[in-house]
Amino acid sequence: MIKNVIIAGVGGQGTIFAGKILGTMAYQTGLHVKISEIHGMSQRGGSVVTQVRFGEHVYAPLAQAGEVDVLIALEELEALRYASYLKENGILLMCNCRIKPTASDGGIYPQSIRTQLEQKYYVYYMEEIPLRDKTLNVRMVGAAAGCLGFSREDGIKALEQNVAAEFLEKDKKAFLEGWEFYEQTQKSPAEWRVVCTTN
Amino acid sequence: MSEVRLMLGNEAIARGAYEAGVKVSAAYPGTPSTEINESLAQYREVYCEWSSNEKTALETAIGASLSGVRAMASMKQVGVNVASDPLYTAAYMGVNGGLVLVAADDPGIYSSQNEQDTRCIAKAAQIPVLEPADCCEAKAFMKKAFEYSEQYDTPVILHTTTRLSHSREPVTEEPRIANTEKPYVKNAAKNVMLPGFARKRHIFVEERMEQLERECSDFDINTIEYQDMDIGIITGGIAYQYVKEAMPQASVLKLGIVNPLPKDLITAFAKKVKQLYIVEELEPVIQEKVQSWGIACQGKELFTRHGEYSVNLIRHGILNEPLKEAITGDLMRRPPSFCPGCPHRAVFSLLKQMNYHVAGDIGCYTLGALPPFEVIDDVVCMGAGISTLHGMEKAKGSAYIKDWVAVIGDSTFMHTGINGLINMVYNKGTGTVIILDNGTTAMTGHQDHASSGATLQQGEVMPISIAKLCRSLGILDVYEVNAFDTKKMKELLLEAVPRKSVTVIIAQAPCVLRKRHRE
Repeated sequence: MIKNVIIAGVGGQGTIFAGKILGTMAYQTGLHVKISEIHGMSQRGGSVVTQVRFGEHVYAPLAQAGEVDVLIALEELEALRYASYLKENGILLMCNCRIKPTASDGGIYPQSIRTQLEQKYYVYYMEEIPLRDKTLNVRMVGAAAGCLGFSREDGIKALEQNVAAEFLEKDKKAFLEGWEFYEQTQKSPAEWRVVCTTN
Repeated sequence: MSEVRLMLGNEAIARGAYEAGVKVSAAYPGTPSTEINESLAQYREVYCEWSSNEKTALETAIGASLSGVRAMASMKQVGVNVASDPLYTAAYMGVNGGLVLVAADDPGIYSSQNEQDTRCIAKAAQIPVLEPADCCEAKAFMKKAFEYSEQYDTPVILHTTTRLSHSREPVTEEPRIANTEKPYVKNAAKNVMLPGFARKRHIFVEERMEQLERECSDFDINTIEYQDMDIGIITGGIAYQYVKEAMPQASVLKLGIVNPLPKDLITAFAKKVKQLYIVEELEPVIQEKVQSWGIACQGKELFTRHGEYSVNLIRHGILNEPLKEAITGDLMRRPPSFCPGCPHRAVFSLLKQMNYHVAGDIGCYTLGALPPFEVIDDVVCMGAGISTLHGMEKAKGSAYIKDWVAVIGDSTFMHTGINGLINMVYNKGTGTVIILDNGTTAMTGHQDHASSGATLQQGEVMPISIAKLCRSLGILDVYEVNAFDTKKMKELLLEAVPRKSVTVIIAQAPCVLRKRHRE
């Protein structure tokens, strides 16, 4: 059984790092993993997507549309862009971050993203996260780790392997907050805005 | 002691080179190849440099190989064009220490100006090509490449693509081979390619490729998985991964070497399976060769010659399943753009305001072709901006280019831009050239270059002054101006563009991203 995760965001939000943390967790628990990254244009405000696939043995580095278990969207428009990769009953993790494209192609930023997505997918909102939070990516990875059945310890170990000492405590805290967010939604879904509708 | 690390394909290639005992690595940055040399530079046993361009990089590696050490050059696919002059002749000379060229293709054109297939160049140059399919193989094949290079007295190309170079996977580290160095032996008949010597070496090259074609059927980098004998697929590189996922029951011949092709192995495989398919990204290199042996197969009839492959595409081609593509509708896109505070913005705003045409070049500033600026008229390849402006002038007269300028970055200028400028001066051109000097190779992630003041491993160095270099060509009008001082720049342009001689305006301001990193 291969698990597929997409981390979508905008250049500078740390999707590549988020992918590395998830990937490290997977291989530390004995699974094979492949991570696919987009380099190059990422620093210039482009849309950036990282895919993480793990399981017994992963062949292709990319999942196909309709195969993704968890979509971590660090930005709302990017959530909409990659939502169709989610499989039936797939989980969409979102936060209250909207970044207008720095360059315009003449299009307009859609208004009703949440309504559109809620009609089709299980959407988890992590609303408490302040905009421009530098640990947003790690927090959302924490929540995704919960969804995917990883433990707190798996996450801490992965962070210790990938993060410089000066940022480690901050990232650990962010990861645990994310992980607990997911746990809470499982214990008392009513307290959180969890939307479950038919696919 | 052997540690497993989550390695990027490019890091795995670097690790493989390190373990193979490589002593010299030269490269010019270019997506998707850049991280190879960057990653190798962390190993102090290996001399690594950013060369001024891919040609000097490969020549440096050839010299190092000649001296008797294992050496390599790495570059993106279009960089191989720049290096192709020494490449074709290095094939004749063969090697002393193992010599490997890592060529990173870009199917899907994520970050390039074309989608060329390096295997075609390798075929023309008669150089063996190894094609790893994942990060573990990237490391292992790099070591094999050095072995084959010395065994068959030939440079070897390791062929990767964006998807492999920028994928991460757990890879096990192994120790470095301690001593691979050989003595230098003077041998003009092998290393001086005069016609009389080259004729003999050409015969050697033909024999070498024939010998390899015979022997490579036994190479353990090729593998066969027999399953359902109704469908047989020949593939290699990253395409193998898509094949395995799309057609888990099919029999698969996975090629580790794609030039020359293992004829005996392929013939035997073809005989055993009912339907034979060839799955390879870009050009039908394998397919055409296999068909030339009279073996019936299908490939490009079913799959594209352009773009990246995918699991879906293969199921669509072989099983006729519908293509399941992601639905994004007409969603607002996020085209890349200049960073906030980028000095290029100031220059392009001015050029737009002044209604100039721009002969452009390769770098971040190529984005000047897109909204909101849209001032760039043409972009061909590294260094072509100055020369295309020159050609425009020679075609239509100097009055015609009096609302034109050429724009080029500092790193690209040092790469091949200087050649165009020499030509323009020599042939009495009158063009105006703006050099956007942000002190770094910005597009690929801030690598140093000859006029940036630092090297990859050797610390600081006296930067080659672009202004002095231009003046040394006899150009009298060379100006250095702050890129944000648009008033001054406008005055200069109004004065310079109508002039009957070459003018160079160096617009200086550090890359804002790099400035931020340093602060």
